Amino acid sequence: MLTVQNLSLKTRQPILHDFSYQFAPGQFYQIAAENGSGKTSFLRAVTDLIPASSGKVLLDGKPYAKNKRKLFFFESNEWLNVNLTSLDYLKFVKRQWHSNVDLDQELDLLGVREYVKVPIKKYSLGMKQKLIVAMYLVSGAEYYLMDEITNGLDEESRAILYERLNNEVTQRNKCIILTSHYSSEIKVNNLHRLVLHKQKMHEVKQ
Amino acid sequence: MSYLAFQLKKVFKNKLTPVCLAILLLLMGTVLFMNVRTNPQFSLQAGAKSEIAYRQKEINRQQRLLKHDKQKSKTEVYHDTKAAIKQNQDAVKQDKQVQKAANKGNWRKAYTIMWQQKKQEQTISSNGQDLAGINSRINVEKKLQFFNYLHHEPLPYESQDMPVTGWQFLLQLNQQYLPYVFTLVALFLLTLLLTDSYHQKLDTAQLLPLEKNNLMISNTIAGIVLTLGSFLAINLVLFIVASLIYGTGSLAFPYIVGQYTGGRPLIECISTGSFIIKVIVLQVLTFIFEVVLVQFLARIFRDKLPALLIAILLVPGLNIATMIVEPLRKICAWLPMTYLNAVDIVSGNLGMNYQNVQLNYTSGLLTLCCSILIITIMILLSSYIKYKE
Repeated sequence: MLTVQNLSLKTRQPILHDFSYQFAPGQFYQIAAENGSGKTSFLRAVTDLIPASSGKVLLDGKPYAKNKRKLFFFESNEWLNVNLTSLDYLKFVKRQWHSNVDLDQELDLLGVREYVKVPIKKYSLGMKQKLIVAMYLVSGAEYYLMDEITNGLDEESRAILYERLNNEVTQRNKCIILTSHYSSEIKVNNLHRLVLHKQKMHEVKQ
Repeated sequence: MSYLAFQLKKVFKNKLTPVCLAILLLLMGTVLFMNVRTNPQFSLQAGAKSEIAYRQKEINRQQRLLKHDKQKSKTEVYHDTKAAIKQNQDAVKQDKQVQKAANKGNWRKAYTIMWQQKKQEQTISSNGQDLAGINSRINVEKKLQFFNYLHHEPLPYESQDMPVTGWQFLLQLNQQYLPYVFTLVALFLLTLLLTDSYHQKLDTAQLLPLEKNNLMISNTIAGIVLTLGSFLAINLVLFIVASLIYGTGSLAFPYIVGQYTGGRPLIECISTGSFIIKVIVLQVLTFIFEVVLVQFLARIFRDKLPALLIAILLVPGLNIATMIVEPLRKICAWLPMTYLNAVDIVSGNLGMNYQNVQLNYTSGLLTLCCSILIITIMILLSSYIKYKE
């Protein structure tokens, strides 16, 4: 369980005020909000990348810093080192997260295998996003924090991705928290929609 | 793949690494080429030849004076000139003997004559009292010690002004060029590596399920492999090239070292071999210092350009500032940046130039080790403070 207790966030301006929620395993959470309203900052605060003004986040009862292997978060393709290859990243993630996921099998999901040994500097935006998806799956982490992961993916790839995420939630009991612009196309089981508006985040009925 | 292997991949797959090293190799290769071209003018025989030409000119001039002043044959000046001609003729004779002996490879004889000449010069120069006199006395003393060493150990002559043999060329590179040029390249590559995990001032490496100390140690090892590996690669390539052309030279060949004790310079000669080991020790410590410093700056600034700028200002900047700003020379022994030029530190050249007794190999070890330790503690503290937040 990812427990958020009275979390308040402030960067240049207040982002979130006194938010409490429990993100449970086997559930899919979609966070929707207008651009610049703080979806990414929320994910950063959960992973201690930025400090919270107040409140705390517990991952299965412990602070995130003591339970990092349970969660995977890779915010943007800008974080990729362009001199490395997909294989370098995937092998690294698999080893660091002590994952027993079959790397070879994951290469086929979105077609990463075709360019697995090509330096990232030669990738298009879509290819980079597919690599990031593969990194999430290869990590074998229990919690995925995905920030607009479908950016740059074509319709077919998005459909494959949502189907796979649905499997991750229903069959592997993963907890997925995803921010996305394409809100209407998410068709997965156990879906919860949260809206961040005027510093308040709350779940909305579908 | 371990974090260390991942970091090393970043280094080896970055094209800027081989490009920077290739440029350095090209520059240093040009130095070797220039040395090879001018080296014949700096051999023992060439030195003797130019000395003969100079003395011969002096003799001719003095003989013209004698002819001109024939009527004053009883005067003191006349006798002095005659004595000077005799002295120059003896010197020419000695220089011809040096030339002949060196050509035949009879180094002991050549060095003995040179040593005797320098001994005479020392007697003459010891009368000088002004500042120029002191410098000239130091130079004569250096030459005297140099030929005294070779007179006892007659090794084939190797030029140290325009060196071409492997070991001597390495020493020249590490004294005149690499301390500054390589430091710039090393700081650039280290900044690229150690700031790679920072994006929008966020430390993304902290998302990795690794202990903070483990991260720091891996980063340090990767940085050391990068700098030391590049440094060794450059030195090795140039050593091999120089050795293929003119041979490695002898590790027993003398190197002049000196230090200031009690306000007086103390000069002696030691073998190049024993000298190089100390240089390597100091150089490795300098690299470790640069790695931890850049890592610390990366943590503070969380951005490539500010970290690189401050690193350049702090390391080569402060080193050069010490040459210009006189008050800095008094405290420079306790600044780790002073020890970039390990050859000049171990040889005592810098200590004598700055007239700073504390500037030596031992204080270098102490200062660099303490600085590395202090910066490492600061890095750990910054992690701890961040974690507490």
